[in-house]
Amino acid sequence: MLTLIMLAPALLANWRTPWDDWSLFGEQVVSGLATGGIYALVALAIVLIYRSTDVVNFAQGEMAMFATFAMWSLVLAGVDTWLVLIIGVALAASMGGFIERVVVRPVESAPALSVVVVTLGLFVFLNSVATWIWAQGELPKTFPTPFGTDSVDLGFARISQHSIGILVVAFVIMGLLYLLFNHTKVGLAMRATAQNPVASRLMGINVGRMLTLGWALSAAVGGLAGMLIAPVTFLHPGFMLGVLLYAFAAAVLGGLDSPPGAIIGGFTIGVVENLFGTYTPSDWLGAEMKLPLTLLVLVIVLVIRPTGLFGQARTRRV
Amino acid sequence: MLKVSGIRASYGPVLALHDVSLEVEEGSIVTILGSNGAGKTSTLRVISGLLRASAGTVEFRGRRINRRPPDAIVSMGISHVPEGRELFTELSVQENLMLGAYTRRDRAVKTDLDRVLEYFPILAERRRQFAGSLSGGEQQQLAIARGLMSRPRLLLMDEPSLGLAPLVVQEIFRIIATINREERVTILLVEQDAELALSLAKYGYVLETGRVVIADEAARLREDESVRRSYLGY
Repeated sequence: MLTLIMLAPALLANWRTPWDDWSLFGEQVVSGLATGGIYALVALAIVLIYRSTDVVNFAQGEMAMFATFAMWSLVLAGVDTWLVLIIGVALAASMGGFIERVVVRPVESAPALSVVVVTLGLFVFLNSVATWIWAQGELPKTFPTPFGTDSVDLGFARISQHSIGILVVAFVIMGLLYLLFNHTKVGLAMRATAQNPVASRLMGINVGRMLTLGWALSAAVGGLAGMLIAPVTFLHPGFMLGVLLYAFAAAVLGGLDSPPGAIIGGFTIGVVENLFGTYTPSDWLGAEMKLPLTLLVLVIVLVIRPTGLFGQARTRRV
Repeated sequence: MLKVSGIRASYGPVLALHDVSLEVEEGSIVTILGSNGAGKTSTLRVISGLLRASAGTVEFRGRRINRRPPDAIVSMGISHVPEGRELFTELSVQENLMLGAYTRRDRAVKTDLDRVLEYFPILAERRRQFAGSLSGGEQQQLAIARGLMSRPRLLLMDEPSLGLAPLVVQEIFRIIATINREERVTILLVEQDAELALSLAKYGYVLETGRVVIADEAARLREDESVRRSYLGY
């Protein structure tokens, strides 16, 4: 203890502070928001599935990784980057729908733990297959950004075009999801299915189709996030694992069943993660400590508010 | 209008319906009585397609409807107001009503919404509220209103009086009678309160352990010694 107190001034002296360089602070906040946008999208994908099927899909990240690798093949074949993005989203969506029908549907009424094991199995399966097909030769692979590689001077900071692109796409997707769920008939039917499948069937809603659609939508959002973060993290079979952990943290922080919560959680985690990385002295807190420190913030929040920032304590009829 | 013949149905290994046959005439109110576990709810579930019958047939307006999925049955004009109401509690009153019209593709849904709300003025006032925030009686009204939004010819109602205060029950039954009269919706009513059900219905069936044991005019059932003793309590 005493040593710690004696060491404290020395340790603190190594801490950088925002006061030293405000434009660095601005850059780190905006790039934190950009990765936060990715976490928010993946967290939204998790929340979409959790709300409709009460399943926490551990394979969410690997589904995105798989789609991203498939798109990398297209990139190698010389397909336009924007087109690749669109095909990738379509592929991820069909993969999500297919997985729901073939893998998840049969265990629908099984205990929750069985379903968790199934998604973990899916995780391992997709990871192994991707390694087998694509992870030959030098790793990690590079993945192109459709937004350009320059940076833009915003006055207070220089921000890469890619970060700005991520933020724009993230906001557009969130807006589209909002419109889908609140202003379309199919969106209303999906919300109804998530709440009360029996009553939904009585209304004439094809509940199975809504679940498939939910998984497809979720996989599309997750896949898009994967392809947007790949230019930053580079591409290898494990590249979505870190993203998935942060996204889980974001989803849990937001309450796990709240889409706005997932978005705010995602941005918060992205910024906190980035600031930790920037301002903790690297001689005693390396980049490896970014994840545990960020998760520590999550744990503290959950101790204070066990249902997350926006979650509702759900009472269930037994 | 509706003809149920010799249906059998089970939940897993438990046989719920042994042999149920009944008929509902167009425009009438028919009630199914019986104690808990007699098979009343199961009968309605078979008709609306939620429960698959292992034997027997259900015919609606001359067409066989058992083995069809619930969405097809709703589209044909049968609406099920289930036991315990089964509302979408975290959606608004209006959203619940719009979901009632889910299978409809016509453009009259909005005008129907206003027309249905005329029967339930309290729901019109609470259009934007969560269904879960309504009182029990209001929730039952919403469940019925939602059932009407599909423009049914036949309305299946399961225990609309469940858990409601006597005065509220009176109000609900007054609405049911009005709907039957003015909208010419045929009603198949499952009800614990036999007295009330028989006062409204034209015809009644009594179920016991998955079988129809008595079938008669409602007026005669009220005079029937065994029905009186078992279900009317005098």
